[in-house]
Amino acid sequence: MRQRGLVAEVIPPVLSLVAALALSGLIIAALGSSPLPVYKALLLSPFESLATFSEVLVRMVPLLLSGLAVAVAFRCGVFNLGVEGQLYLGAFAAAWVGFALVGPGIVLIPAALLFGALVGAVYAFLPGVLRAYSGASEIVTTIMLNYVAINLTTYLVTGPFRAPNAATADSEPIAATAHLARFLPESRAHVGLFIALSLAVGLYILLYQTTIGYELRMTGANPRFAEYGGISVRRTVLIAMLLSGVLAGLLGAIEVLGVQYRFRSGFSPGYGFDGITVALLARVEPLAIPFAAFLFAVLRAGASIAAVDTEVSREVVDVLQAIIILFVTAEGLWSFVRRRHVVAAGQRG
Amino acid sequence: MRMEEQHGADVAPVVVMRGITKEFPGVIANQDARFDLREGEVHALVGENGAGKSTLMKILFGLYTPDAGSITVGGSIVRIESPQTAIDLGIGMVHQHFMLIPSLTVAENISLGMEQKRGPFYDLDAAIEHARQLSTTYGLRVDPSARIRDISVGERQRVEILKALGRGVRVLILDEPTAVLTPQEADELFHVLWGLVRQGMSIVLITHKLREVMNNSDRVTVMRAGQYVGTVDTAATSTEELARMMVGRDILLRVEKGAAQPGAVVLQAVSVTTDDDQGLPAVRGVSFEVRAGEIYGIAGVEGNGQSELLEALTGLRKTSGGSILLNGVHIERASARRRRELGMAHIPEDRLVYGSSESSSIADNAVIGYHYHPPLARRFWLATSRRARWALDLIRRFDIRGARPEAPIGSLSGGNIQKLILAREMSREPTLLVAAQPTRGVDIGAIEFFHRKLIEYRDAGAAILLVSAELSEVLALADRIGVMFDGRIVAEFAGEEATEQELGLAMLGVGDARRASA
Repeated sequence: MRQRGLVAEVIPPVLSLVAALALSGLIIAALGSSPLPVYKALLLSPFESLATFSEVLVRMVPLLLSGLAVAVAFRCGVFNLGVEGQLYLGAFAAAWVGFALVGPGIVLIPAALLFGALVGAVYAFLPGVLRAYSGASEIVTTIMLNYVAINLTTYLVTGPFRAPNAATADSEPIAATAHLARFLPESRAHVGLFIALSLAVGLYILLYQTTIGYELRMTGANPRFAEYGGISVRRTVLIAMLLSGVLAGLLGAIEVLGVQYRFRSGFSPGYGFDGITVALLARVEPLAIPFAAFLFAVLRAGASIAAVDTEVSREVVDVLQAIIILFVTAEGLWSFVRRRHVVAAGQRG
Repeated sequence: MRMEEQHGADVAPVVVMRGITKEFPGVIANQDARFDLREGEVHALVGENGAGKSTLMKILFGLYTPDAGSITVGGSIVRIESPQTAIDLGIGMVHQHFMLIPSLTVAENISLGMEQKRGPFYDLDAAIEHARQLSTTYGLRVDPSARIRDISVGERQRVEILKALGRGVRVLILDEPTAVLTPQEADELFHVLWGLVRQGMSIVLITHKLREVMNNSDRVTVMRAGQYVGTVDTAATSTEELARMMVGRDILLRVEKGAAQPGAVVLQAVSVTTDDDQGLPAVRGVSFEVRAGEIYGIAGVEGNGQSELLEALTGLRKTSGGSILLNGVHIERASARRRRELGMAHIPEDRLVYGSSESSSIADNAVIGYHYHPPLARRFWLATSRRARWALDLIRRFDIRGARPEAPIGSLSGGNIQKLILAREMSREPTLLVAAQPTRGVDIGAIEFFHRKLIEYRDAGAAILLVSAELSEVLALADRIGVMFDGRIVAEFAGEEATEQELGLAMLGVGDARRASA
């Protein structure tokens, strides 16, 4: 996979992108508008000012972390579709540290991040244990646990932890000392971006330079080979789920400390599921995930601008965005499936 | 009409397969294979596991398309691209692993895919009636309204057969039908099959149980290593002749080796028992020992418990009883990793499933089992550059052509993948090397190389346990030979005094004076 060379790696997604844009253009033209202004709004306007660009950076952080969370499980052959639920619990845990405790940022921020990560990990550990010891499909259990987490956190902020004067279901605001620093003037871009980027590098190092990463990759590539080589598949699957949960929990915590400053029920527009697309777009390679997350964030930011600045409706922009993502990921998904298929064919033969 | 075209009393062939060749990545499954099926006969297709008999029949049933060759059904050349085409041509197959839906009833399974409708609705009564009719017509007793998950394996098999018959097939292929049956159920199955033959059906019986073949077939076709060996009338042959055809005599390999210098006991198995995947006893109390500096060979027709025994010895399968000692340490409950640490290495039977990870790099494949140890790792860190050098060193020493450490192992040929596995397993100088089918599907040149390496390694003082379906290989290499039959070691021979005749008879579980009390 990594040996195919940069050109061979980059050309297929670029071609998919061009094909998707062409098809979208046809749809817009069929609706009686000119596609060019829409292309411009979607792809270029996010770069027009520092304000719009910094919004891209803000949107990128959760997409990047979610992509990493999905990827670490994927690489071990586990499908964590519960990132959404894990990030909600992680967010609430971090918010609780922020509003229930007081102290300087140097204490409060690490405490909130760690607590968020811990809670996310514990919540991912459950389906991991079920999968490892009873063979229950993590695809089903993680999806179901999403509802539990989302509804539980909603209950917490409508009931026991509801801010006294809030009109919506929000927690109390976190202490100002717990806010993550912002690094661009007049914008919401926060240092969570650098935490996320270093985690991408960290995951790369983990996968390719440590024994645990090796065991994780081998378990994902061929579990029976791993077992034969003395790797405990159960233990490795559990580690992958834990790591995935840590990343999901951190996602929630960073969103709270960097953007929301409180826990809002239903704050995630589906980051946990976008992570699947991001991970596949990046071919499940940690160092490619920041780029995939960036592209995704540009499209998201561009879609908001296109809906305001052009005559086409918000729905059409959503369709365009979906086509682009579909085309680009279908290619990534295809190569991922093909790899797994080869392994499966070997096992039958 | 076709009858007249034949000479004398010969019966028309319903199926003719010629020159069938099928290659899978790294393995040639069929090479110029042929097969004829006459109307109204039970034709046994025999050969060891991996001989290519299932592949040949899956080609006939449209599950695989052949790379070369022709198939004639009912006198005309056909292309069978899917099981649906095969069924339309009147060919049905009952697989070793049943393809039934456990939560549905017998009748629902039988009518699956050709449901009768009453208005827009599924007509359950019609399905039950249909199943009942089929059941009485062909004399296969089933309860149409029972759920599959509640009925016995024998009954499930009857449902599978009825499913095929319900689709109007005239040719029925059964893949190892008795593997999952009790002897009584097997008797009943054959009774049913002969009934079908009397009604004009033609039956292909894939099996490796020769006694079954002798009692229950008209003709026998033998395959070996993907190739056609011959077809004989059952009445004119014997189990001994069939065994000879199956195991093969023509590839007699000469291996230069001196006398073994056996040392201390390295591996000791005491009354080991274990179950197969279905939970049936596969190994029924096996005891033997392998000493340092000797090669202990296990011979046997495949499917007599050798695979399960190896998995139990290497930690991939739980034992249900007995004990295993490696250099005096009990390991029957030890993990695969612990066994490696105690000096065991393992060349697994299936190189693509257990022995390698096709999509991973050669370097990743070259280190498994030792990847967490110095010099390949220090604490949690992989020593990346040392790892690459390690892989290069193995590639060079074992002459694995065209291999680069960073290339996926799937880019190598089967023989070269096997060389890398051998290289890896020998690299840490284990005291015990367990080698299962080390030369299956590799070319002659590589076979010699493997044999030379194994002898060298023995002479360096290692204990080697060799399991091979190639009798000639066991005879050429082993210093002592245990013969497995029906989950037991039924005889033990000293390598130099064993003859193929004696081994062959022991492999069939028939008369041998030196029957070991295993």
